[in-house]
Amino acid sequence: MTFFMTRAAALHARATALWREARSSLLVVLCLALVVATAMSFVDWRGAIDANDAIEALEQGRDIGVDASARPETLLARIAFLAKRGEIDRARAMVEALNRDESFDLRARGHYLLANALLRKAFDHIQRSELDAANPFVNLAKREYRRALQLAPQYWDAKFNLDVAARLVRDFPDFERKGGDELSVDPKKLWTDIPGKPKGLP
Amino acid sequence: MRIACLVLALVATLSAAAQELTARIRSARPFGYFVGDLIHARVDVSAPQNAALSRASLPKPGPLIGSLDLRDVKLSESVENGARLWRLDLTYQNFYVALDARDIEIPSFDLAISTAAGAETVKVPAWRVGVSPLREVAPQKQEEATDYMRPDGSAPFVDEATPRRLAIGAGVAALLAFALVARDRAWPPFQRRRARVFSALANEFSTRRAGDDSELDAAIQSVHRALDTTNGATLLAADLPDFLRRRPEFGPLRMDFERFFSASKRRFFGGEQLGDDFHAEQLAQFVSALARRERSG
Repeated sequence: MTFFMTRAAALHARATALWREARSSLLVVLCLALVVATAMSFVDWRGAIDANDAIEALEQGRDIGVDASARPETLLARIAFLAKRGEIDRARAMVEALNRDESFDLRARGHYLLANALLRKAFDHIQRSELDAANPFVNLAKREYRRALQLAPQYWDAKFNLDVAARLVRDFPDFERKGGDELSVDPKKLWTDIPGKPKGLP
Repeated sequence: MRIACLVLALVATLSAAAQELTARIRSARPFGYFVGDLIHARVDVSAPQNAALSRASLPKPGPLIGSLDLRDVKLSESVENGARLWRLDLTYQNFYVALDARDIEIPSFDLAISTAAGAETVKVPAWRVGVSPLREVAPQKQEEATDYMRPDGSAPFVDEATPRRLAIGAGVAALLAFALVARDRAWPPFQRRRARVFSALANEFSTRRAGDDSELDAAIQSVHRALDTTNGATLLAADLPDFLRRRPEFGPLRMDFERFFSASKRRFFGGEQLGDDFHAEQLAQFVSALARRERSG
């Protein structure tokens, strides 16, 4: 028992001596480490401020080039800028760059913005009665909305716009095709002609 | 998953061999799903204890039919009352855009189970969930076609507050640590610290290099004063063992102490003008060694 106590006392004395020896150098190391940490967090802060400035400029409609390695929020602002102007191919390249990020919500928003641009283009074609040209844009938009929802299932704006797009061009799932939505009607009861059609020559 | 699981209890499939292989589907809510919603279902498969489920026959995550994805499959296995129970937690995602409230079909799948009687398949049957529309069939007329859509929304900003708080916190901590280092080494404004007489002396020596002999004399005297201050009374060579016992941190410097005292004695009382074994450099080294030992005290 006493042996252990003396051992413990000796250990304690050695630890105290070691601490006294090392304290001076440890303080210097701590100080240097904190200086480095300060510098790094300061750089991070400055980066955040710069990114927010770029986002604000893009929102106000100023064309600012954004690198593909920029922060995801800056990329999103760039995508929104391009999508608003209908530059789909450039926006898509940015969405692919954004997909390297790990935040599902930001990635979902990127797909949503791209899909909105595609759907607006489709509406543009429809208003000019170019239905065949509108068709692929609607389908691409639906695919992008679906991507957005796969990443963020609670993205209500994407749900709503997917509904809008899906009503422009319906896709018919298997169960709908074989399902009995059609009314089985006796052929004799069907109108073979539109009633009220004026007869005779005008 | 959820305690109040509504039991759909769709099926109890009995295999041809009349084994008790049963599959039962439970769903928390079999109705009211919008497009994009997740549908959670739990399939309980029970089998005799010696049966084994082939993992390869589990359904694979991915698109099932055009408007339905299987996102996640989780399997857990347990033994209850001599029967083996497999619990499959399935997560589907609905992409069917409904125009009216209607049921869509979740497709069936087969599970391969090997029992003592041979390989069996359990069919987990198809079941139906109700999906609902998000909008009216005929929405109000809008001026622009794009007005039917939800807008792009505003851009999220980068969080500035957290890095700012971190930078300020780290800066304050670094200043504090620097103050601690300055105190430890008796840098200004801590040079008057009583306990750090040798550090102050070392600073003084490093700024003012002893050139000629008279300055060396003054330097040796100032070291004596510092030693006296540390001792609390005049420290002579004879007092050294006692002093070192009271201040053990200076113990490793015993040889240097003795050299210093003998050199000092010879210089001031022995009449030697050129102390050839004790120069200004050695004195400075002694003082900085004293300062180091003092900091560890």
